Amino acid sequence: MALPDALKRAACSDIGKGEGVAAATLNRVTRIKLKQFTAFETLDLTPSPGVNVFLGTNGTGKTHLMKVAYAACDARATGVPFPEKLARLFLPSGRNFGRLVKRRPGRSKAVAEVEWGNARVRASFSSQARSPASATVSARKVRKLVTPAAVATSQFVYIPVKEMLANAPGFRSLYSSRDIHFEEVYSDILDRAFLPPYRGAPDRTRRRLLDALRKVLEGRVQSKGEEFFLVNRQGKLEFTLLAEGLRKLGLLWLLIQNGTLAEGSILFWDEPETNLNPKLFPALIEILLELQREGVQIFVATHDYLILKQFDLQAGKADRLLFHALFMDSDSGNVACSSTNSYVDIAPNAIAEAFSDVYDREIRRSLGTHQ
Amino acid sequence: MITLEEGDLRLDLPDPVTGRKFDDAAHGLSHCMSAVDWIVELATKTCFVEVKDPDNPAAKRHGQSREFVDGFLSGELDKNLRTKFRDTFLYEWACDRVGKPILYVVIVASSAMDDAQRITRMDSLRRELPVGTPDPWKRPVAKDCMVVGVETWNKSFPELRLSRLSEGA
Repeated sequence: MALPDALKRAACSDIGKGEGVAAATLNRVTRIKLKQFTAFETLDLTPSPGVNVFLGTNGTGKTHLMKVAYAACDARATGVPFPEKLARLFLPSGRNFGRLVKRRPGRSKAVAEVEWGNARVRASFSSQARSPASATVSARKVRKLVTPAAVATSQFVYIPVKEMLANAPGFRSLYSSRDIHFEEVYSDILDRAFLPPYRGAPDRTRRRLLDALRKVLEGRVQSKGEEFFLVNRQGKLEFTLLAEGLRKLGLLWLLIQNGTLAEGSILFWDEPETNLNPKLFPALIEILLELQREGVQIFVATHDYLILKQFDLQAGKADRLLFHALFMDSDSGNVACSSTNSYVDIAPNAIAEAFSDVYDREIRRSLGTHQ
Repeated sequence: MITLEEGDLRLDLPDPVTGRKFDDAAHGLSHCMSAVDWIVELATKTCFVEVKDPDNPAAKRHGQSREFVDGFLSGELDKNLRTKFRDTFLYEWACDRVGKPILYVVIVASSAMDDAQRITRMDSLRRELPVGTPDPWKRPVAKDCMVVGVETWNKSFPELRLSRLSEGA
């Protein structure tokens, strides 16, 4: 995978400086390595410390990749074993952990590894593994490099495709007391959303971002008990009555307001375009880029041309934007990844290819040869 | 063989295809009517061809390339393209030369544009012209329209080669 030199420097610049390095830089994911894990034969990805945009057809592992990195962040910060968190996010049938090994005849072994500079967490397990506990876990310099205080203040959040705020009442208590078949990202996102706001007035950046979101939402978000409301001139509108796209922006408002998204945090967002009107994309992308400028590392998976294009159009020269195209390599038959910081160099670009197919049909129609 | 040129672009028309540069001095009414660049007569249709060439090395040198593409994508040229088509149609109708269905082809030679953007401009131009036979029309003015780059032109009309003079066309 080719990483532009400037990004390589940026990605590595905060590594190995010891205890004095700010939590913001220590917490950035600097490498994700997978071997025979779910859809992947091998993958070695060096993400940007800024914005990472994943694209690729269904089944090329965009969501899996983000979940692995998120699980590792969670394991590092909370002490939950990495394989256990993977099991809670991927929900292999019967908690049979070996099912996360890439399917092939005979025995095989998977490895999932995530690095933050010199710190690393790694899980390896065989296709015969019955439970997450049977996986081998190794960690390097996780505790030495990052003080518990730094971990505690760091935040990481995974916004899943399906909106959860409207379904919040009762869900968290149900999830904690019953063995229900829900990926843990849904419970986690509610935990983040329910965090109370920071004490005191928000700083200038946070205020600017919240103002931008307030303008789009035409109101602000409030929680009462386990219910969320949008408060605007008309009064209090419960989230169940609010358009799903706006609920997602409301979630973003909460995460910024309560400091989950702040310098040093990591945002994973699976298909931010879902249920959102494309007219709102420019505002959304500007907020994401602004968060990145404030030191939030961002991972986004998308199928949407406009999301991709807005990142391309709105990113400035100083923004650290990296596109990762996941694709099925025709020679090896395995998922591969090519990364670039330039939109025009994305190859293969599954989204643009879909438009090219439509364009070809349009041209044939104009020529009268479409039959 | 007929050869048409517009700036840095050259179009070769092999026999029996005919074509002419339309917006030159022979037009005679350029003070009151705008015109497309070329008219190409195919066996079953007439193509009104407007050429925009932001990738022209001269335009690139003067930094006009990006400016043009941004303007084109924003739709600010749609009215100009519509007027060129309608004036050309009216001119040709008055000359009693309208017979075959008319395809309006806008060539935008730009490597900065992608297919998604071309689709958007095509849809917009279709609405502007308009194409087909909206009620209560009995016959179309423009049968259809296309927004193409050099590559798509050559794929669509493989016999009518479009090339760049600066690349040794």
